[in-house]
Amino acid sequence: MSDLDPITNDSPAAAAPMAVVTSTPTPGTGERKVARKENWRLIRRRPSFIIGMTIVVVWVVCALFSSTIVPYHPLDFRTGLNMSPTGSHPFGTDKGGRDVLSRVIAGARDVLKIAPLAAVLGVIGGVMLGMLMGYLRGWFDTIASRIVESFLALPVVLLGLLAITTFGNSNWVVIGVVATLFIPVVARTVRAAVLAETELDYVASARLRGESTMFIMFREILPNVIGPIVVEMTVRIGYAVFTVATLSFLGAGPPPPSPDWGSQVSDNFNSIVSGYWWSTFFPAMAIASLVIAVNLIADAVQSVMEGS
Amino acid sequence: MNRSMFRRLRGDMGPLEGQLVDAYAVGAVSRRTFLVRGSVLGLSATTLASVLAACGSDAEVVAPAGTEPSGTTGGTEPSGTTAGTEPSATDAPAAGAIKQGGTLRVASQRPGSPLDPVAMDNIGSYTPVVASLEYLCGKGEGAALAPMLAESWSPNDDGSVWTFVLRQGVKWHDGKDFVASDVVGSMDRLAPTNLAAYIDPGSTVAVDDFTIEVTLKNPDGQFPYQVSPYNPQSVVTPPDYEAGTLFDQQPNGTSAFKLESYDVATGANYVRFDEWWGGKAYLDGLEIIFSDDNATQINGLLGDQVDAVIQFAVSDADALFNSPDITVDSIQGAGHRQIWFNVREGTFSGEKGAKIREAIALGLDRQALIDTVLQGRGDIGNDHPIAPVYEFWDSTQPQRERDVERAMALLEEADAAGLAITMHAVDLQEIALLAEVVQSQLKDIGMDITLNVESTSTFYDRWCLVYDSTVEPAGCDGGAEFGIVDYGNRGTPDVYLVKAYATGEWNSAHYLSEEFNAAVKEYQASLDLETRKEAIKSVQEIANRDIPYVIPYFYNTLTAYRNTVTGIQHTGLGHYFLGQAGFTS
Amino acid sequence: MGKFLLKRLASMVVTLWLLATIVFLLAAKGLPGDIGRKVLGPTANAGDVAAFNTRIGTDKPLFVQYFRSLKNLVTFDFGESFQTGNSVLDLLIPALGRSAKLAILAFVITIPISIAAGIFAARRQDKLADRVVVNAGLASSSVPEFVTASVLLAVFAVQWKVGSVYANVPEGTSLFGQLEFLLLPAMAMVVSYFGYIARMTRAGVITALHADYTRTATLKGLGSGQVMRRHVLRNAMAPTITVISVQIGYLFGGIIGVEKVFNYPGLGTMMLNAVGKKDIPVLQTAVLMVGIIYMVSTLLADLLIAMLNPRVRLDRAT
Repeated sequence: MSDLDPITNDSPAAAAPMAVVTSTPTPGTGERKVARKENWRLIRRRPSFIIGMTIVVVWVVCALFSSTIVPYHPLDFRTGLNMSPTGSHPFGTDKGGRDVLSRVIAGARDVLKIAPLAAVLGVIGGVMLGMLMGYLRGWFDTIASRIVESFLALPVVLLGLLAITTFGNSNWVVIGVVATLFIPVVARTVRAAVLAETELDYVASARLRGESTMFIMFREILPNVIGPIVVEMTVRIGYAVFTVATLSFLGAGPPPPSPDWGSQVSDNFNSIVSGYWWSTFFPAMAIASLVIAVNLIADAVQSVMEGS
Repeated sequence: MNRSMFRRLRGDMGPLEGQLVDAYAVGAVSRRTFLVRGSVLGLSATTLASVLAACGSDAEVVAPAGTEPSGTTGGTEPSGTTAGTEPSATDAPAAGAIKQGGTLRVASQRPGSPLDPVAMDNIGSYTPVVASLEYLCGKGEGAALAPMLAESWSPNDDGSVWTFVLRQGVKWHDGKDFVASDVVGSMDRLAPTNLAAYIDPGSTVAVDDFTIEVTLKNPDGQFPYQVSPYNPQSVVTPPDYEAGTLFDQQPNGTSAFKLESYDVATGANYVRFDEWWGGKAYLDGLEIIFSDDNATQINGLLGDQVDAVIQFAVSDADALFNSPDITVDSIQGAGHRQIWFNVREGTFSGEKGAKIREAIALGLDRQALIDTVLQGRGDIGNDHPIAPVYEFWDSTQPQRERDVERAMALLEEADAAGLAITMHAVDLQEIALLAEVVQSQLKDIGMDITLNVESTSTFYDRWCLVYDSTVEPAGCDGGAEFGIVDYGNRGTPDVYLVKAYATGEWNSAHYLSEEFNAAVKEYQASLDLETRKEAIKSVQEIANRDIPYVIPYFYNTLTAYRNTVTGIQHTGLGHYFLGQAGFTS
Repeated sequence: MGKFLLKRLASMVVTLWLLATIVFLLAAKGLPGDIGRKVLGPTANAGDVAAFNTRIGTDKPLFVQYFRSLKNLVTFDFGESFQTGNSVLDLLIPALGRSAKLAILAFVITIPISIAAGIFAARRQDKLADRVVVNAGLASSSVPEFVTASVLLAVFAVQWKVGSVYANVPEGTSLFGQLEFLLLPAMAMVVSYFGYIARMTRAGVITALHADYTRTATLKGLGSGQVMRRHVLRNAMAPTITVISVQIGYLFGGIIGVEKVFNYPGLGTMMLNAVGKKDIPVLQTAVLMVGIIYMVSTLLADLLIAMLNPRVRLDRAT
């Protein structure tokens, strides 16, 4: 769950593990392109990237072609309730008698719609805010830091619950809430990275050249802090899946009858005591596989970027 | 039939009682109905037994508790493991088997409102209150009433004045004697709110120290239900209570258990009150443990943390049903789920709307709903709120069966083939699953339903927020024209008929039918069973024909306890009466 | 140092004020529904609801309510729960105590295990053992904690009758006896947090192992044990400490899942119920409690890191 948020690294130690690794200073645009190509080549070769990507591709295929590859309709109630895994239902059936395998396959669609979108939006928002804070400093930074800090001090799930109770629980609200939860965390990471960058010579010389603030921020600094941002993005996708599951558990997830994995887990985990482990186990494993896959990719990206 | 004995009995009775006895004598009412109705009219167990004897019902003269585990239907596990499952307060349970001592730990829903006995509105709040406070009339077998703080009661000739003779020797937990003026004060506190439809402050007078007389606004042959567990707020409260007094801040009561400590975060503790009118209870004490989830309560029983779960929903409870150490009682009731249509305006109004409503009613496979959603633990519904548990239920009405072809034809006629619409529902117990199954079943008649399932807190806020009292009939509908809401178990269907169908404030359908209201009036005014049956018959027919609501089923209420516990008396409304309960040795 | 602390305290006060304001606005303005209606229920009549709102003051304009709530907070009075009419502190202090007990137990178990695992993995970087630790940690922390909690409950408390289904400790239980009640929920938290802290430690140790000072120390001829203790760990612990400090705040307020499964009335449960009933005084106070814990623990972490590594300048840290 997003409690596990990594990094709050403007603390003095600032040496947050996966962030703030600035690449070599003063790179020209041309060099940057070459370096990026080289990095990409290196990333593709790493086994962790290959494994992670394979898992992601499997889920993407499930999402795209779910209606043709599911053995049963994922919302079909007409089979026996709580049947243990057998040949005709390899993952068993849930408490409504629906085929768990079909629901896991169809659930990929909801998960891949909600989680990456929430992560992208959250990271974009966080990057914007973090860059402004780190570059502008002064009163803007002071005020924004306090607001960011107070959001970080607020229990994440509570904030989500308050927001969803207020706005209702459509898919879009869930995406918006998860994105909003990520903004302060990402902003902190980015701010720390930007703070380190602004002290470097290339920023000073850009200022001397009389470049606009926008240009310096987005054309000069942004490319140099892209490493931690990419890492942040991949990590966030994993946490987004997780956060949606937790929100469902609190009754604030995507609306039923969505076969979203998180909703499946939170709908069925109470049957574990009755011995019906499969209706929770398989969607939970699906979540874990996606989180691990995304993290394997993140690891590959991170180690190449650090290495370069 | 023993004529002389019959005449002697009959001669002592008022007209209402007399009609009932006559009806039984000529075979117009069943033995079970006779016992229920008799108890409501205040006929004593002895009188009932004598009538049964006089009419030649020789075999089972006095029905011992348990021979007719009335409500116990549908459960895979028959509840009648012991004869003492549902003893009335005065029945002594099979002694010897029960040992003295022990504290009963009960899992219950966390109270959802302050413990103001008059204003409490959820079973989480009822449980801790009714552990100490008692009613005038208690729960008997099935839908029958039994003596509690009132030893007997009887109506006048037209049912407009009821006289209750109170039990003597009852003591409050603070040591004071219980007298008629206490009941008068208690009734006067109920009059402005809970009993506003029945009495005014001052309608209740003490005839002597142990007799009260209640004058009703309108005659009502079923009034004792209003001062029984079926109207949970009607507990008799201590004389020093005022409007708004909270039970936990000023604990007192007349029951076998006295409140020791209360914490809304954890639970409540009670100790035995040795001066209870029913004698010395078996249990030393009672511990109520609060939790927010059905599953937590079930887990508590499975994991030996509690001895009983007061009420739980069927979902996620298979472990209880399968456990050999646990008894599950299924109490047949009138609680149901109501699928509403706004018949005043929008998709479901007018002639076309009526066709769509009928199509939906025909599109549902009710037995499949019960099997999936309730795992078979319920009675099939026929789109009216009269449950088979009521003795006046008209069983001759044809049941509406699924007819996909006819439903699709109706949609076609209404120019609504492939209708896409949003259904609003509350996320309570099995309702979310019900909504999903309804959605799936109606796909077969070509409908495309989007679900909007809200948590209980937001749902109920919005439910009555959109309350336009300027347009008659008003009603709570959360601003949705199509939705599902819950109705709890009641001893009589009056609340459903008045509040949900007539001009009442919960009329989600905004349904208004003079014909229906006339039938309801007739039902309420009916004092004998025959006219009541006749009136209810037309109520059922009109509701079934107009379909402002689809009522797919009446669910059974479930309670569970360890096999070593016996003598629990429960109501299906969050009450446990534990004066006779104990552990078997 | 003194200046640093003062500055930190001042910004803490600002943050707390912001927290109280955010919660008030979200709860009072955002949460739908009328408080009187929520507390008294859908069946209460309109007159009673209005009277209730007048009694607790929720019929007043929003800014009046806001200032009253701030006044309560500033005077440490905190007011009464809308829902039960009882003092907020009477409700929340025991809840805070329960949350603290569980969080501390979880951390006492998690920290040594996960740090040891992190160091173990780092020293075998990219070997099989490392992969196993990293991915097992990842897998365990990607299963929602309420699922872990349910599995532990079903297997241990229900099947094997080891440990307790309800984690709430009866009064008068001995310190050791409390373990029986708290161990399972604590273990659910351990499973969730182990992977995360282990991975942080691993990353920190790897960075430190590759750092110049480590190479220098090795070249100077120090034994590997000494290098590890004196140079690597000292530097590698900073991110781990930071992460742990942040998690302490979350543990107090964010473990609603575990609390719900084990029916443990901690701060999370109290906040959840307060949201349901729009009980603003309870919600605000609980959030502030969690906020203070979060901020104090991050402050302590910063101080600890400065102690471990004198090169860190505290005054840049605000």
